[in-house]
Amino acid sequence: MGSLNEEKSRFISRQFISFGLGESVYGLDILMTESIERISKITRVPKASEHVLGVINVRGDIIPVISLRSRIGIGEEQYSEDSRIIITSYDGFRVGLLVDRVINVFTASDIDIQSGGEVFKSGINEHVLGIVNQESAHVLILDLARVLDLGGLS
Amino acid sequence: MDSNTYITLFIEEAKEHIQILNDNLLKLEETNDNNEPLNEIFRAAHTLKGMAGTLGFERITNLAHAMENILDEIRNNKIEISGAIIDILLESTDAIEELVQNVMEFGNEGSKDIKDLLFKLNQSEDSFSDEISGHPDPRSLELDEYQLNIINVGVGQGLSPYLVEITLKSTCLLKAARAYIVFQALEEFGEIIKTFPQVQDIEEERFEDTFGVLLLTQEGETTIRSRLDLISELQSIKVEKLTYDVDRADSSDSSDSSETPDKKREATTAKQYTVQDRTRIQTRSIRVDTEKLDNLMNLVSELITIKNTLVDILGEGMESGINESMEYLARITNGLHDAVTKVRMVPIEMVFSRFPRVVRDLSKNTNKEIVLDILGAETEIDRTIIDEIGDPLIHLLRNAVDHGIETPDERVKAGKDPVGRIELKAHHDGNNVVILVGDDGHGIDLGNIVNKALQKSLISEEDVEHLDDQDIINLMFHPGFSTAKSISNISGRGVGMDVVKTKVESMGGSVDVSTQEGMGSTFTIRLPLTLSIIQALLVEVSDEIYAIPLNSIQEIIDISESTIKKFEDQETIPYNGILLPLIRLEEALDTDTISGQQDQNMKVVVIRRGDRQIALSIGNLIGQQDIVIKSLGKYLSNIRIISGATILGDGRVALILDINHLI
Repeated sequence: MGSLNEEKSRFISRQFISFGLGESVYGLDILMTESIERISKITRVPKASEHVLGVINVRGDIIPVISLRSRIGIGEEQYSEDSRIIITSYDGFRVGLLVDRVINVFTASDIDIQSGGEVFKSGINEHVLGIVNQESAHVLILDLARVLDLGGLS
Repeated sequence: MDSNTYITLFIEEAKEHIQILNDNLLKLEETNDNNEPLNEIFRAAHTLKGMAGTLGFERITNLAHAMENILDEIRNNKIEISGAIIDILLESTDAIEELVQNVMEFGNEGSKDIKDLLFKLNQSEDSFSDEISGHPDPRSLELDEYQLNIINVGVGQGLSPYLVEITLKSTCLLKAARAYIVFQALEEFGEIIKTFPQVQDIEEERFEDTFGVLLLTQEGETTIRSRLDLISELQSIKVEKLTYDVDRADSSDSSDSSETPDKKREATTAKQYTVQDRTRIQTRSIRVDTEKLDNLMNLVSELITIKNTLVDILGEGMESGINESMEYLARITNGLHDAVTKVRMVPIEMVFSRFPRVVRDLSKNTNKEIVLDILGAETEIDRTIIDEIGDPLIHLLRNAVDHGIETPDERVKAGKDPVGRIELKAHHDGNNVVILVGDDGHGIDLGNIVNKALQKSLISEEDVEHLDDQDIINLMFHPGFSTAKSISNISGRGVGMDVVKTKVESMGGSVDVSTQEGMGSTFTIRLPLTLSIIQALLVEVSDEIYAIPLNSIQEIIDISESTIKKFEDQETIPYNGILLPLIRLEEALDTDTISGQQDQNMKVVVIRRGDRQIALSIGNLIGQQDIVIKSLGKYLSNIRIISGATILGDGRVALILDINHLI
């Protein structure tokens, strides 16, 4: 019984938002996202970590924004017409991620996702949960908990 | 049907009754011969028993029942009130409180072991009291004349009244239908005089799993049981034969007046089943879920934000017609805000009322004699603060009992009254509520604090020379600091003053201490009246806008750069004949300084917190505004110099400075 359920769960398909960050395409489980926002005025927060760009007003709520580029170590944030802030919600944390562009929403089964540990040496790309092949491109599935550094916080 | 509604009501009412128990038990202890508190206690225990019984909370029911038995004995002068009896009654009250707490948190009583307590209670009580309270008189079930009459006649014809209590299985889906089947079955051989709750409530499923039936029948308990056993989905069946004294009933009937004093008392003592009780207590107030109030408050906040936006947009070149309308709108939003804030205000008595009990227990444990004076309990404060302030205050009281007040011997030696005095005072001060916890003990031993801080390496030997009294007192609020010489169960468990401070500051307040050797010490807690909307001064610091709570600002002054004096690294400015430390906000907030060339004149905000003053240099003043405080969220909760954020009229976010952490 148990193994059957396990077997089944591997075929459960989930939806992901894919977005571009430099050369790479990343994906984030859609259940962890709330909305996608255009860039509005970001208020700097003193004494915050270097990756925190500041806070924005999303329909009356104050949401911190992280530069995802800076957080995963591929350089400074860049603003363009396509830049977007993906508002994520995870374990009571509501945080916006600044990304270069949002691409689309796709569906993938867990079985199609190859674990990050199999692909990368340890210590490299630790914010990647897994990799999935999507329309002839590789999408890196983002480990949001790691990006938010929850392991070290609580 | 939402049984939760009943649980919530139960919790609310249970809390009130627990409070009544505590208050009156203490009164009883003080004045041995006083019927009033005894009756109050009895009523409270009885109501608790009834409510808990209806909802199937067995432990609470049993405890309340056992308490009731003892109280009955006391009322009948069969037991004398003694310290031991009061202690055990208080202990039982605590146990009930704990069980109610469990209900609140987990929805059930939990598995607390109350056997010992029940045993103690039963021991204290005379053995034959069972008969009195084991079989309640049917008249204690709030029957009306007509129903009493039926029973009366029935008993005359050889019928007996039974109280049948049925508990349905929690899985039972159609509870009303199942109850109906039970009624049908019972009516086969008897007459249903009354149901608990009322039939209508049962039909509409307004009951938890348990309901009761008062049945008049000539059959015995076994017949009733065996008939009910045939019905499925019943969890338990309780059949209790009621004693009914025909003579007594007759005499009260014949006296004919429905308002004999005897009856009156019974009507108030017997609050067995709560559904109908509520209709009797007619007050002009209603209970509202705080969530609904929060929602209302949020809407008002949004309204204020949009009003600010409008003022911003229309700000320049406003026509006089629009101007008037805007002022009118401003008046209305302010009025609405005040009204909603007032609705959320409750007297601080809600917290204070627990404390006489706390101090009594603590003074007993420490063998000290202490009187607690409470003043200003009627002071009103925001509901959210009420929920939060209890723990810090208890800690301060514990501290006063444990570290402040001396033992009676020591006090006599010092030429003081052997009875120590702790004062708990609350009053309004502008937009703040001030709570004082003072004792007339030996005061805080500053030397002791320094030694302790050295021991714990909180400071170095060199630091000691630079410390003034205030600095030393502040060491007490250092995390992990505790001066208790031995670890007692009262204080000195490591969780100390820092918790008090953190808690109070998280609510936007501050704690200050004053102490005088031999005379005692006073802790002053200052809290904002309401948490969500405050008046603030908006300032500009290198192109960024920050809000400073107005209640901490003493004055805004212009100074010339040349008056700044530098001592080592600390800049200071002269103010009213003293020097104030100057903090440049652009440095404290790491903003980009615009240019090296500085103005000859600068604007400085003088901030006051307790006895301390400090000067903040700012760029530009923008003005005063009502701002709505919003949290920065969990992710940024570790940034201490910012207490929150607000949304400006143009939709931008401005951060609110936390004065406590700038000083």
